[in-house]
Parts: sequence; structure tokens; C-alpha cells
Amino acid sequence: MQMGFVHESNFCTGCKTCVIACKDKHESAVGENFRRVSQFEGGGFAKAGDAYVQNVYTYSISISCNHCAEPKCVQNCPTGAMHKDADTGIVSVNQDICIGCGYCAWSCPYGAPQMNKKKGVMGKCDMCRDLLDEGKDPACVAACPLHLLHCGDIEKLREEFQGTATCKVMPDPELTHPSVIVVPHKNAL
Amino acid sequence: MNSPLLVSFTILSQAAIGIVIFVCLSSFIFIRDEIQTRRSGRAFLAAAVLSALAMALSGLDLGSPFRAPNAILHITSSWLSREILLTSLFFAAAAAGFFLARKGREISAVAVVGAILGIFCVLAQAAVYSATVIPAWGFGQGYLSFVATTLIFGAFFGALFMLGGKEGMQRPGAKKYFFVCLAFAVIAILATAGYYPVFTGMLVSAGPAGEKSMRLLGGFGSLLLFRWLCAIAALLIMGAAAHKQEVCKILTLGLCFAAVGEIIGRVVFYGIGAAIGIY
Repeated sequence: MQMGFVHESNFCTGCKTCVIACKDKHESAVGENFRRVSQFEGGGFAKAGDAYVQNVYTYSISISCNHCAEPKCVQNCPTGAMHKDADTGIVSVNQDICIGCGYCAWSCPYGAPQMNKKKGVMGKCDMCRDLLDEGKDPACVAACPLHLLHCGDIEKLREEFQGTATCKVMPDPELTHPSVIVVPHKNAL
Repeated sequence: MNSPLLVSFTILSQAAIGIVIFVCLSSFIFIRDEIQTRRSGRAFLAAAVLSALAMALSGLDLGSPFRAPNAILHITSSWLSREILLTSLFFAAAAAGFFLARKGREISAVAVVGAILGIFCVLAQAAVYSATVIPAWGFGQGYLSFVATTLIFGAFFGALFMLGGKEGMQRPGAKKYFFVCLAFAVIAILATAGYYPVFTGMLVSAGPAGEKSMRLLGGFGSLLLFRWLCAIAALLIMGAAAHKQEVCKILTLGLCFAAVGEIIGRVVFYGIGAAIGIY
């Protein structure tokens, strides 16, 4: 099984509750964000007949580690601290052997691994594996006030949600084959 | 993406590798005698000291330096693991070369082994960067830049160690060795300069991260100009040394220009690194 996330970006208000829930759960330091919300704006005034109408838009994308099928961070990690669980496909870091070289951060197109400067090791989203073991949702998924974040078996999620692993502002999924589905805003396509 | 420690690590380790490669070349050009062994010994010592310093500085770049030995645990798939192992083996070869030369023993074999380990080490260093999601470190730029730095430092240091001093340029084979050094330095600098327009052309078409790198590169314009002026000055100075009997001072001056040029080049290499991401 490969676990993954879904983000229904088309309805997301960009409230960042998911970011706060994640930071609270992991007691992350300032600047250390395992989940991040990026906002994109565009549009302007367009002529419609004799009038001008605005077509301003904004959309938000909530991204954490995508627990990729072919994670470059795991491949490049010199210690083997960054590893992929054989049963769930969750990518996590063993902080007991991590040396804090930061090479995983250079290898991830989603900026998922983050340096914990206090501990001198890397940290990242582990999909709140402790909560999953208790049958609960990860903190970000449980906190989303609009229920726009989901997690589970990515193959089942792909059947349930009509989305994509990429959009205008996201990296080429061929790089790492991310286990993520983004239901994009119309202007993100 | 700039890190003074990584700039220092790559420059120092590549200088050390360059020295051993040019000691290896010298063993095929000069006759094996007490002078050659003594000069090779000094060069091996310099290479060992530089590579030890490089490894110590790279350790300081880690979040947890005391766990540094863990870095060779994933050698099956990580280029960083391979690089660290090869750098350690190269250091051992350079140190062995120094001790053998000090005892007056034959050093050709250890020079060849050291040079081969060094070449693989430089290629592994370049592979570390090309395996990232940073387009500015791809397109062969890392490979070319790192190999060129190795050859430029090797050429200058090699000429200094093998041809410096009173009897340096009088030794049989001295002129031939000097022109080998000069040829490698010229080829390395010309190849690096010639490839730069090709590299920037590919960077432009590398998506948002490539475009961001190009914007960062624009900020290094005057520094890059100074870098190429230093490289040209280094080559001219080295060329002028061909007519001198005592080359130590003039080659040291050329080495200083070459070093400044290479350090600036490496600062720019790291400075323009922009990762593929959500833009």
C-alpha cells in the first residue's frame, strides 16, 4: 500500500489551519514547516463589450511531504536515515542517525525535509504515523475546517477524487512520482 | 544556497586531488631520482594537509558533526556517501605517498592509485550536485567546473612543486612538464569559459527554477567578469614563466590569480542554485 494526501485546492480558502495543526503536533520551531500553504494570485481587468470586468483570482495549495513513490531524498541520503516504509510507503527520517547534511532538502522538489537547527538533524512530515496507528487522521487532515485535506491509500483516493499530481505552479511529477492528488483551481491548470 | 564551508571543502579537496594527479604525471616525465622523490613527497604532504582540512571543514557544515562517520552508511545509492568514502581513501593515498617518499621509497604506484581515486572523487562530487533538484548544478556544469578546478590547481601546484627552486627548470624533462601543466590549465579555463554560454542557454529553458537562477546570475555579473580576468591573468603569468629560470615567485603569483578566479567561480556556482519547487 502507498499512503498519500489529497488537497481540494479548488475550494481552499488558504486559512493555514493545517499548517498550525502540523506545527502544534510536531512542536516545530519558527521557520520549520512540515506543511506549507502557498497562495497564487492573478488576473486583472478584461474588456467585455463596452465595459471592463475584473477576472482576478487567487488559489491556495497546501503541500507537505508527498511520500513519493520514487523519493530522491531517500535515494540521496548518505546515512539511510531518510527511509520509506515498506508497508505504508510513508517516507520519514530516523533522527538518531541523521547527520544534518541537508542533502535531502536539495533532493526534494517540494521542500519537504526541513532542518531542525536546535537538534542538528532533518525533520519532515511522517503523516502523523502515531495518530494513524490509533486509527485517527493526521493533524492537518483532522484540523482542516473545510474538510479539504484527506489521506489514505493513494490508489483508492485516486478513484475517489478527480485530480492531478501537478498543476501550473507545481514541479513535474515525473521527478519523484508524488503520492498526492491536487484537485486544482481552474486557474491553476 | 551559498555555504562558505562547502566552497572551501570543494576548492581545497579539488586542489589536493589536482596536486596528486600532476605528481602522477610527473612520475612519467621525470627520471626517478632523489630530487623527484623529495619533491613528490612535499606535494603529497600538501595534498594530504589540504584534503584533511577540506574534510574537517565539510564536517563543520553538518548539523551533527560528531555523527559524520554515519555518512558512509548508504553507499549503495547515495553519491554523497561515495564522495565521502572516496575523499577519505584519497587522503589515505596522499598520506601514504608522503610517508613512502620520506623513506625514499618508490612513489609511482601510490601516485597512480591516488590520482585514480582523486579522479573518481571529483566525479562523485559533481554527481552529488547533479543528483539534486537544482537545475543550475546540472547540465554538466558541475562536472566541467569541478574537473577544471582540479586541473587548474593541479597545473599550478604541480609546476610549483616539481619546477620551483634553483634547479627546478634545469632538470631533464622540466620544459616538457611545464608545457603539460600549461596545456592543462589553458584547456581547463577555455573549456569552462566556452561552455558558460551553452550552460546559461540551457538554464533559461529549465523552467521557473532555471529562470530564478538566471536572475541570481545577473547579480553576479561584475564578479564573474573579475573571475575571468583573474583566469586570463593566471594563464598569462604562467605563460610568462616559460622563459624564466626561477619560476617559484611568478608561479605563486599566477596561482593566486587562479585561486581567486576559482573561488569566485565556486561562490557563483553555489550562489545561483535555485531548487525546483512550487512557484
